[in-house]
Amino acid sequence: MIKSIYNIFKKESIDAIRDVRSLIITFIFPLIVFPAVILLTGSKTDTIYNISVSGIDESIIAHLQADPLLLVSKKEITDKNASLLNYRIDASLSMYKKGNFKAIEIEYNNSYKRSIEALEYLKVKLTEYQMNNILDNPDIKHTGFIVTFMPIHDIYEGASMFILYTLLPVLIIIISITSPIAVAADVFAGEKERNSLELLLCNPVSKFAVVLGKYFTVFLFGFMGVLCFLAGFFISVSIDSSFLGISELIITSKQISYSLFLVAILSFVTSSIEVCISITAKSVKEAQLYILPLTVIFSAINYFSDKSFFLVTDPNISSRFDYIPVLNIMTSIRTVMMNNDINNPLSILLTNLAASIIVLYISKLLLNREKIIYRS
Amino acid sequence: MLTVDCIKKNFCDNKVLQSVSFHIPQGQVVGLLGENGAGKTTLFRIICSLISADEGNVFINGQALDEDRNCYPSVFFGGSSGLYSRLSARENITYFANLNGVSGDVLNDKIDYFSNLLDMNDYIDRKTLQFSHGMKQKTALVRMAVINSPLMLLDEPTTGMDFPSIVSVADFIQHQKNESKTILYSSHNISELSSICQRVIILHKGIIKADIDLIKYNDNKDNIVKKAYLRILEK
Repeated sequence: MIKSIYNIFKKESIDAIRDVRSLIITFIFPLIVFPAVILLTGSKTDTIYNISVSGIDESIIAHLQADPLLLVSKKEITDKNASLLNYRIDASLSMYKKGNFKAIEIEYNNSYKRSIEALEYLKVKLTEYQMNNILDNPDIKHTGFIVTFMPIHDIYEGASMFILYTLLPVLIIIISITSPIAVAADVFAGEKERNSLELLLCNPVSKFAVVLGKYFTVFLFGFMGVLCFLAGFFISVSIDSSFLGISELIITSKQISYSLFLVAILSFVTSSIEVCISITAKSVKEAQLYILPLTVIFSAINYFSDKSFFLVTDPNISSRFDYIPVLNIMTSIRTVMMNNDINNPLSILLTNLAASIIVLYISKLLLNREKIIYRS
Repeated sequence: MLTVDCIKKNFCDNKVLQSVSFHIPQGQVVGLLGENGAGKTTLFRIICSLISADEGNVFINGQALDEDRNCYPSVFFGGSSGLYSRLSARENITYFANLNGVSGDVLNDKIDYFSNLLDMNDYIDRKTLQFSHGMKQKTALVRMAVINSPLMLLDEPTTGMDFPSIVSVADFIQHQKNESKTILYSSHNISELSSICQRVIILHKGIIKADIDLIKYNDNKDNIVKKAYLRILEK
């Protein structure tokens, strides 16, 4: 049986590698998707930043107001935090004085890219003001002030990188489903279109071996697709990590190994479902049409895991999700992103393996049905 | 070698096969003749265990299809060659051979032999994507031949072929006959069946209407089958 599985896997892999469409969908698209998103959304524009000031010297306000990119409001704001979190203002400046000592505190929303940009811009402008002041009054000893900045966290307490915690898991789900879609649709629905499925099933090979041989190919391509996507992501971060709201992203080897473990298990599950769908579909197009909604279903599961992870503070409650396949992967991806250990890796592995095997067994049973084999 | 025992198969209200029974001894080439929808392909699919019969049994080498068998038929379905277009002819053949436990030098020798026999040397290593219908049919024939199964099922293998290709197929069948293979061969071409087969079974609306032993006739086999077939159609 192992030899048959290997033969089918080898043939399917060669067949898929020679298909340009599969290569683009599996390798090229996931590799460039993140850099492209960053390139498109991260392009610098002449944004006008909304700034509120409180207790700031008029000369400093005048310096800031002279800049066309800054819209400075001197109106008193009752709840600065809420204004920052609701994106009504991009940054808030307050001045504190004690004798000759002066400090300007900049409050900003560190989960909002524009706010982070405003902080950087204000730092430049304030330094510029200090430099001008020294040049204009070279005899004055205490001309300046120090600039401090205070990040305001959004609702995800402790999570400062919106993209890492919210967008990245969704993209991983979408890529793990879409990157092997051409291969998955072809392995069974394509065989039906070519009328080669019945020939394959005439051979002295068990139907489960046929399912497994094709499944491992889909899994390989799905996993490779996610790896390409992660490579694209890390390349983007290494070039410019400002879109994450941080100056530098430090990825530990533990995070990498956990991430690989989790995306491999995710690909295990998604590939098995795609193979099952491919068996029931009568054509490649129909298979692709049925596979695509999986991205929505899995994203919904991800949304649920998102809520469960961040809103359920009781660790006993959140640990219940360790035993629900897929949901436990989603929750763990976030845990890993926060540089924590996975709660229960064995339960994640076993529950998702069990789910995959059940789906594959259903696939094998479907291959026994005439209406399924000859549905073309 | 092959025993078909009271096979019945219905698709909804359509009685496709009605108590079909026959036996083919080892080494015999038997033709299956019948109009479109007579049940030929359904019978092939039942023998290959692709679909199950509503009633009756099929025995290959005395073993029922649902048992652990040591003999699987090699099959050719004429409607489509079922080749993988991104693989070369040799890779297509090798894939199926490997699944049947044939590999290495033995397989390469067989591929070389049959590609010579069917005049395929020019394109054996080319991808099948741009093959003509005849080239595909020949590749499919070699694919089944290298498996070395003692039982071969050929469902309309010459459909859509030109004359030289049909001659090649006839040579191929003759070669398999000499190797004592048991062959069940379906076709609409009576001349082809009469020249290749030792026996012809006429299937009409899912019922075996005639089982003609052609060995006892030296010539005019063609006319004998034609007359029998026309009589059945007229009724």
